[in-house]
Amino acid sequence: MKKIFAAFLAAAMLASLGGCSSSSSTIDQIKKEGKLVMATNAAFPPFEYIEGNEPVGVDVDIAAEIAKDLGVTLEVSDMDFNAIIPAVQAGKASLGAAGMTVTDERKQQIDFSDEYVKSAQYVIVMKGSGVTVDSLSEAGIVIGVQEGTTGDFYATDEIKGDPNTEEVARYKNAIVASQDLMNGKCSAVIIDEMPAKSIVEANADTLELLPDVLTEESYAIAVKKGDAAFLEQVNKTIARLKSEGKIDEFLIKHTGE
Amino acid sequence: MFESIASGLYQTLVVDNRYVLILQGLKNTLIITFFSLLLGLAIGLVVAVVKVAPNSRAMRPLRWLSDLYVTVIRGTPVVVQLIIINGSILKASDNQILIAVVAFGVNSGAYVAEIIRGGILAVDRGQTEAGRSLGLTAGMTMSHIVLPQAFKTTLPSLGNEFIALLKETSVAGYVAIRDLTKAGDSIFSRTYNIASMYIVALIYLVLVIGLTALLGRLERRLHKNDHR
Repeated sequence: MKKIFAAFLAAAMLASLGGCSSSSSTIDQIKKEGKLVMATNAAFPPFEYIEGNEPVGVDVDIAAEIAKDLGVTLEVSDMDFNAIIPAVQAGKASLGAAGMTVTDERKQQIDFSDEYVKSAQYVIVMKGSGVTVDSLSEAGIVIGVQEGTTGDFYATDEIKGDPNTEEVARYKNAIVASQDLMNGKCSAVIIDEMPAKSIVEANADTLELLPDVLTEESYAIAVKKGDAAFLEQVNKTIARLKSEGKIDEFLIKHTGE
Repeated sequence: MFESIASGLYQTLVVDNRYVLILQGLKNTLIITFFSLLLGLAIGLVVAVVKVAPNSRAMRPLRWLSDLYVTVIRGTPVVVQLIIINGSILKASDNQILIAVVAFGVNSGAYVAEIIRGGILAVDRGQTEAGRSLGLTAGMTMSHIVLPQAFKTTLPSLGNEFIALLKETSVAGYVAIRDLTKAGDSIFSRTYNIASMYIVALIYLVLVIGLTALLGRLERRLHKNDHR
C-alpha cells in the first residue's frame, strides 16, 4: 500500500513538472502552425453554438477576425467549459473565447483581453411555477447551472451561501440543465442573459425568464498568463471590431434580431 | 515543487471546506455502486437462468426478451443509456441517485448475465442429471446444485465486472449526479488545479484495491472445501 502511494506521488510530481514547460510566445506558435486555436464550449448561443456541423457564433466571428489579422486560419476546439482555462494554460489552445466573464479567480489563472460585451445573469423558471428570485435561497429549491460558470458561482456562493450545497445541480451545459428544468428535476436555471433568452425563446410555451438581473458582468477573451505581445494583438483586433461596430453586427446576426 | 503540491492540496481540500464535497461524492459513488451491483446481480441471475432453461413454448417470450435486453444493453454505451434514462424513461423522478442505480444496475445486469450463463454451462451435465435422479425438481437442482458451483467459478469474472462498474459510475456527473468524479470536477472548475483529479484517482484506486482484497478473501473461503 505504501509503495503504491509513493509511486502515485511520484507520478503526480512528474505531471506537475510537465505543466511548467513550454513558455514560448503564443504568436510564434500560431505563426508556425499557421492556425489560431480557439477553445470554446459550443452550447452557449448566440456566442457559440453548433450550426450544421460547425461551431458558429459571436465569439467564433471575433476569433476569426483575430486570426485574419495574424494572417492565419481559425480552428475551433469544442470542449467542456471548465476545460477551457486549463487548455489555454497548457498551450493547447491559443485563446479561450466562450462568453467568459471576467472574475478575479480566473484572472489568477489567465490574462483577460479588453471586455467586448456586457452581460448579466438571468433566471429561467417554468411558466406559472411561482418561483421568484427571492425564493431561490429556500431549502428544496434546486438551481440548475452550467458547471464552472459565473451562474454556478453565484448560485453556490451568493444564493445558497454554502460551497458544499447539494441544491445546485451542475450540468455540462445550460441546454441539458433547462431540459431537466422542464422535466421538473430542478426549479430554476441561472445562466447568462443571451443564452437565457435563446433557450426561453426556443421553449416559449413552457419556460419563462424572470425580469430580475442577478449580476452585471462582462465577457473577455482568455489568453495565457504573461504573454503581453499576444494579449496586445487580441486587444488590437477587439478595438478595431468595436470601432467598426462589428461586434454589434455579430450579435444581431446570431440572435436573428 | 513540494510547495506547489502542498498549495494544490490546500486549495483542493481545505479552502471552503472542499473536502466535504469529495466526501459527499465518495458517499454517492459508494451508494450508487453498491445498489447497482445488487440490482445487476439480481437481473443477471434471472436472465442467465432464463437463457439456459430448456427451450419450451412457455419460455420462448422470456428468452426472446432476455436476448433483446442483453443485445441492446451491451450494444449501446452506458453514458447514452444514462442520458436516456434520465431524460426520458425516468424523467419524472427527481431522485438522481435512483436514476444512477437503475442506469448502472440495468447496464451491469447484461454483463453479469453472460458471466453467470458461462458459469452455469461450465458445470458438468452430470451434476444436473444426478440432482434430477435424486428426485429434486429442475428449479431445486438449479438453485441448490448448479448455481452454487457456477458462482464459484464465475467469481473472478464477476469481480472484474464489479471493478468495472465502480469506475463506470464516474460518468454519472453527465446528468448532474454528484459522484466522486463530479466532486473532483467541480473543485477543478474552481481551482483550475489538477490536484483534485489526482485525489479522486487515488480514492478510486484505494476502493478498487479494497474491493479486490474482499473478493480474494471470498474466493479463498469458497475454495476451502476443494481438494479434500
